[in-house]
Parts: sequence; structure tokens; C-alpha cells
Amino acid sequence: MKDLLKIALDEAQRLGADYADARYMKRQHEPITTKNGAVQSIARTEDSGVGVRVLVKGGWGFCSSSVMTPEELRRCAAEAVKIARASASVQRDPIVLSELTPVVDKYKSTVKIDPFEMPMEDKLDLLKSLDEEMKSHDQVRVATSMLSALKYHKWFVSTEGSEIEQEILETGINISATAAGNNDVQRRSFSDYSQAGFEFITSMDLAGTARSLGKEAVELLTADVCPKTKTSLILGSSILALQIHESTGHPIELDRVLGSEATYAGTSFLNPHMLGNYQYGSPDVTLVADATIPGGLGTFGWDDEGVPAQRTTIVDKGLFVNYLTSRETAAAIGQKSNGTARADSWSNIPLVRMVNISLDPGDWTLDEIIKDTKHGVFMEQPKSWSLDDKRLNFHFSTEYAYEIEDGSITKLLKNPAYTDMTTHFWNACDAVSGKQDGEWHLWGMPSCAKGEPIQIAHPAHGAAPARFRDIKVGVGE
Amino acid sequence: MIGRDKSFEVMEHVLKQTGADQAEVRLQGENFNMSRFARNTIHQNLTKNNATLTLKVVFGKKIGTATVNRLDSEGIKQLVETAEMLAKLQEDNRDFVSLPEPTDHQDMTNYYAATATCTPEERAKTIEAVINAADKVDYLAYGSFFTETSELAVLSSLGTRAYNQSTSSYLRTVIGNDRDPGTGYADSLSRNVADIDAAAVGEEAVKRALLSQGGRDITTGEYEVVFTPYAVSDLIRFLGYLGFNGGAVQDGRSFMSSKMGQQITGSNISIWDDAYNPHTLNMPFDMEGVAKQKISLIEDGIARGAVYDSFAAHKDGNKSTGHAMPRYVGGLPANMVMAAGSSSLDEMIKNTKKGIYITRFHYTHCPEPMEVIMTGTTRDGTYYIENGEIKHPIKNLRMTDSVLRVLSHASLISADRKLQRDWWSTFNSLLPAIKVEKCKFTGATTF
Repeated sequence: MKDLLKIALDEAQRLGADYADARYMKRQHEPITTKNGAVQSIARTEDSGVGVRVLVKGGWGFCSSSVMTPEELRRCAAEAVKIARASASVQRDPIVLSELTPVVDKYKSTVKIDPFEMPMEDKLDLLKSLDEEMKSHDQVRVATSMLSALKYHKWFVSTEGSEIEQEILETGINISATAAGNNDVQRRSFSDYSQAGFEFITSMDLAGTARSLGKEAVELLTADVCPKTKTSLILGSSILALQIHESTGHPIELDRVLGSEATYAGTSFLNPHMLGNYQYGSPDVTLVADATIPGGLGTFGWDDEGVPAQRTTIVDKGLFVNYLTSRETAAAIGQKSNGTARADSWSNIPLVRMVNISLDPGDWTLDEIIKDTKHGVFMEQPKSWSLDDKRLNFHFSTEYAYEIEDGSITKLLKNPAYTDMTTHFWNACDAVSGKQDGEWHLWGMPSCAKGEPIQIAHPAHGAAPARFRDIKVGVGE
Repeated sequence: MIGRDKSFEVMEHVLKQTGADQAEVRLQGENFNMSRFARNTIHQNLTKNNATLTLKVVFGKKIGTATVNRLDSEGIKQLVETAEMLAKLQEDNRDFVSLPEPTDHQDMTNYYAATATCTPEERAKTIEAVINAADKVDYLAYGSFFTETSELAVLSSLGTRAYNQSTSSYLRTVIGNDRDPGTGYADSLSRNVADIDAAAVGEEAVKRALLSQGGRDITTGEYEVVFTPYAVSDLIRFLGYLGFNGGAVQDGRSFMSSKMGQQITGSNISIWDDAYNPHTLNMPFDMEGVAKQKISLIEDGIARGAVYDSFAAHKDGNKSTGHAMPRYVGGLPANMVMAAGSSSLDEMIKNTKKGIYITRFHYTHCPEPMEVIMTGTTRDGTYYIENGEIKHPIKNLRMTDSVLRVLSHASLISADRKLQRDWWSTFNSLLPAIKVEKCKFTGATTF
């Protein structure tokens, strides 16, 4: 493969490219869905091709093709050079890449049971049994289960001498129960993904989870609505993972800061002059980007520019200290890339994307936080999320909540929501759990959209339940 | 592009390879070209070429689907084997009746050579025109410009035989400066790139950006609101995605499920889906090769209907309305059209006592789908209107309100409509500007 890809590099250099890389990717996806115990769909997609990226006089050009022949690779390289020259014609400052030591190496996910190699019957039996567990409650109208297996095989070569091969496998599950009654419709769901094989699925008590989801969806039909007030908000691990994703992960992407995503995904309030001197959160808040955590969806050997996976502290005891960067964006602020340039396919260019961005565990347990809360609300499981285009003002709603009075959970609440400004929120954090085993969890999120054309990245976020003081809850209608 | 003859040759070869009771093969070709710009510089620039084959096979009531992006005999062999293997592993799908019967679709013009042949140099010149507009006032332009040629072909064992090649182009920009957070936006979407006036797009965004400098705080609460078509597209997105989806109506997940025939918005609101309207991104048939029907969704404020793919339609004993998507969702309206009124943006502003002008929204979501409660922040031009005049720019606000309630208070609708893509790029719809008497804002940003 690498010899085929090098044809594109040679052609690009012959035509005047100052730098070129070629990236092959083969992607296999098998989503299986059941609904109310019946198979909804079984599909398998396979997709492969090459993307050739070149830099000519400081302008980028990229051409991708699904046809893997020497002639097509040469055509792609020539087209990329032509596009790069057009880019260079509309340019204030030429693009510069940060330094990189080339590497020749391989990376492969650790997998015990390859879901692609398993009997289909076993996978269907699991999903149908989960539907049945959820449907065991009368008012559950719709129960759906989805098992996803995704395999990538990637090759990266560059004119700087890198030759990298990576094989990555992800497995994940989504289940949801929708109940109707009492003039209401309520949904409970669970979703998690890991860079692992089917052993990730069997490591969970999914039957128990499915049973609980059905029961909880029904209970929500008659629950009180979350009141509108300002109170202490305790977020469960799953919604906190999404909060990290949206209000930390996105604003620390340096390409957004530099305006790359201004019209679509938006920009960021975290300007470079804030690096090292901006109190992003309270001293209880330490956030780390780590592409080396075993099992994380944001884990790899090298990013799609050939930069090694690494661990970078983003917020250190509340202080904002680092961005996520690519070679191009890092150079713009005089740094070296910290290895977060990722492309979702051979046909798209690498962008700055989240890896595994996590909140360090604290020295509380969730029980201790609840006992320490006089009035408050515990919310869990994302339902909706919305942020402004600089990632300051946000509104999240969750599937369920519990009222807390005098240190105890008193009742279930439906239609909960909370809203705040990002820096007020993280500075209002005064307790982070994680002292007890199982409280801190790394959630795989295979649905992060960014870029034009849109790309879907697969990051992960680790979090344990945490408390935030004086937050507006139950907002809106 | 693969072309009509070659597409059918490949698809006929696929159908011959399968022994399924029913089979449907879809070929989708793509040549996509995009240049993105930031701070008056093209910073991303790409072309992508791909063609995928998707095969759906049916044995009794067992269905298997596979997709590959290889059109050679080895790729086709793998496609057929995988789809058949997946189908045979399944139990009967109780709700499946049949693949759709063939339908006759009308010819239409949705391919423009100027779009298909647009070069990287021409894209750069288009972007330069936007940058020049920004440069004139010492501002910076950000945005993207794409041209695309797509082909869709469907062939089935029941006799469906459909092919279409179409083009589209889209230019959008945000213009601002480093001195003030106020920005302005404009875009233009068309099947024909010759319709896109880059200088006009740049000037419109500059005008809004200049008007956005020095945004002031405003108290949140309920206001009269003037929504441009950019902003209306996000209101309509949730109706389309959550309400007009036939599968959601069947499941009881749509706000329309129990309200067909009832008044759900003001009587001046009518929305229908019409893929034959030449002012939309028109398309003769859907992903199953079924001819698209014009479907009334809301008529004079009354819930009238939803759109269906064959699976969902057959479940109710009906025929598909021609709204199948690549993967089963029950049907989505891809060409929504909202009835025009007789007003204009100027008249709406003149008829506003105390209100807010919203250019567009960012990251809208729907926390309560059954009531269609939408939340999202404004951006790129939010202004305070008092006594019939735009008084000053304001810092961006968070709107949280029921779209149905908001549309129940629509007092003026513009005569002009614009082909508009929503923030999330879910739909491309033909939409007017709207003035409403009541809309709730629950929060504000600092810029």
C-alpha cells in the first residue's frame, strides 16, 4: 500500500508541492437495529479510498478518490496541486506547518472478540432480549436497540518520511425505551462506545440497564416537572461528559479560535492571550486531553498528520493552559502540534478534533455530595444541548432528574433543563466525585459533527458526578 | 460521474447476481468541490469523488442491505454476498410488505453545466469578491463555497428504473473584525452557480456587520420578533424533522400524531413539500426511485399530513409519497415550501413597536419535541426595533419557545421567499420572512 501511496507523493513533488501526504482508509461499519423485538435493519457498509493533501507556496490543496490505481493517484496529486495554487492566490499569510519528526510504525487496537467475526444470531439475540426487557413495562410503546461495530484500516505516508499503519476497531450500543401515557411521552436511553471488541458489550449488565430504562420511562410519565429555580446542580457522569464535550472540548479547538469554522460550527471565547492566565474553572476543575487512554474512542497511535498521540493538560486546577492543535494551527501560535488532527474518512481533510477529554476525578463520592447538599437537583442523561457560537451561553436538558432536600433524594422530576455561561459554570464547581470505584467513567461519543463538508468524529469523555452551585434550572417553557 | 448508461449497466449486473425474491440497487455518485476561507485567506480547499452501490435484498420478509464504494466485479460480488448473507440471518420483519412498485416521475431541469464545470480558480475568484467587499471597510471575511454534481440511480426487480444527475452550489459568509464582536451574515444557494452573486452576498454581510457594531444588553422576556428567512429555516427544521416524518407520526413520536385536522398554528401558515418547485433543490424521485408527490403538511394552520417512504406507507396500507432517505427513517420532507404573504422586511420593522430582528440562529435544539420547544442563540446580526425603526444592535439572545406557539402569533409574512438552508444543513426550504407578535427569550450572551 505504501508504495502505491508514494506514487502520489512523487507526482505532487514533481509538480511543485513543498509538502504532500497521502492517506488511505478502509472503513467497515455494521449497524444492527431492532425495534420492539423485531429486526429493524442489518446493514454493512464498506468504503475505501485515498486522500492526497499538498502544500504549494503556503496554500492547501486536497483531492480524494475511491479508485486506487497508479493513474488515479497521479491524477489526484495533480488536481491537489492545482487546487493548492488556487488557494495560494487568495491568501494573506502563507500556511506553515509546525515541526515533526517522521516515524515508521504501526498501531492496532486491543481486541478480544471481533464483532465482525461473531455469529449474527448472537448479536440479534442480545438486541431482541434488550427490547423485551424494556417492553416488559406496559406503557413502553417503543423499545429500540442498536449495536454498532466499526473497523478502520489506515495508511499514512508523507514527503517528510512518515509511514504509519493503524488498525482501529470500535464497538458500541444504544438502547432506548419510549413510554406514552398520562398525556405525555417520555424516553429513557443508554449509549456507550469503546475502542474494543464485543467484550466491551458483555462487560456491562445491559439486561439490568434495559429493565431500568423501561421502568424509568414509565415513572417519568407521572413525575413532577422540574421546577424553575436557581439551585445546586449535581450532574451525573453521562451528562457531565457531554457538558465537557460542548463547553470545554469545542472551545479549546485552536482552528475554531483562528476562525476556520466561523460560518458553521462557530468560533471560541478562549483567545490566545488567555493562555496561562485565564481562570476557566474552580481549583476543583482539571481537564486533560489524552489520546493514550486504553479503550477511548479518542485513542490512536498517531493523528492523521502523523503526530504521536499524547496527553495534554488543558485546564490545570481551573487555569486555562492549552488548546487542541494541528500542525498548521500550532504553528500559528508558535507551538508544536499536540496531535489532534483527525479526518473521519479518506475523502475528508484532517481537522482539529477532540481526543479523550476528561475531568480528573475528585476526592468526593456521589453519596457524600448528595448528603452535603441542602437543596438541589441531580440531573442525568443528555436529551438536548445548545450553545452559542463562541461556546459561552448554553442550555442542556436531560432525560430525568431527582430533587434533593436536606441531603437526600426526595422525588423524580421530568423535563429537567439547566442553563448558564461556561466560565461561571465551571467556576461554580465545588465538588467532584470519583473517590469510589465506578464513579469516573469514560463515555464514547461517536457523533461529533464539525467542518464543511461535515465530518463526524469519535471522541470520548471521562467524568464522575460533580456539583455546581447557583445554577438556573428548569428554564424555558 | 458514472453516467446514465454505465449506471444502469452496473446496476443490471448487480440485480442479475442475486437470487432474492425482491431486490433494489441504488447508485450514488458524487463530485464535491469546496473552498473555505477565514481571515480573508482560503485555508481549506478540496475535491472529492466517490460512487457507492447499495443493495437491498428481500427473501420473503427478510431484508438485508449492504453498501460498497467499488463498482468492479469483485466489489459487486462482495456486495451481493453480504446483502444476501445478512438477509438470510434475519427473522421475518413483520411490518415489511414489499419494495415500492414503479412510479412515473416527471423530467425536470436540476443540472447546470456551469456548476458542474466550476474550477478551483473560479471558486477562488468568487471568494475574492466576498473578501473584496469586506476589505473595502477593513473587515475580515470567513465562509465557504461549494459546487457539487450528484447522481442518483435506482433499479429494482419490481421495475423501478430512475436516474437523475443534479448540481448545487452554496456560498456563505460571516464578516466581522477584530475590534468588535459584532458580525454579519449572508448566503446564497442554487442548483445553478451562475445565480450566485458573490459581490451581493459580500455586501449584504458587510451591511449587517456594520450595523452590528457595539451590541448592547437587553432584558430577556417576551418580544415582537422579525425573523429573516435565515432564521425561519431553523424554526421549520424542527417541524420537518420531528413532525412531518411519517414514521414518527406512526409511532406517536410526532406532535402531529394526535392532531391531524386540528389547528396547530395561525391560519396564515401553510407549509407543503414540493420537490417539483423549480425554486427549491428540485428532485424528481427519492432514494427508492419513487416519484415525489406534493404533500400538504400544514394548511391554513391545520395539521394536514406527513411524508412517507415505502416501508412506513405500506405499514398503513398506503403508497410511498416519495420521501425515502438513504437509511430508513419513515420519510423526511426534503423540499419544504412555506406560503408567501404580502409583506416585506421593511414593513415588518415599521410595524414593530418593541421588538427584535433576528438574522439567524446557532446550534438550535428541541428539548421538548411534542410541544416543539426550540432553544438556540441568535448570531450575526441581532437588532433592537423600537417604534418602527432599528434602534441599535444587541448582544445575542437565547430564544426558548414553542415553534407552534410562535407560528400561532405570526402577523406578517413576506411576499419574497428565499431558498434557505438551516443552520444544521438538515433541510433546504423555500421560505419567507415572518413577523410574530410574541416570542420568548430566556438568556443572553456577552457578545
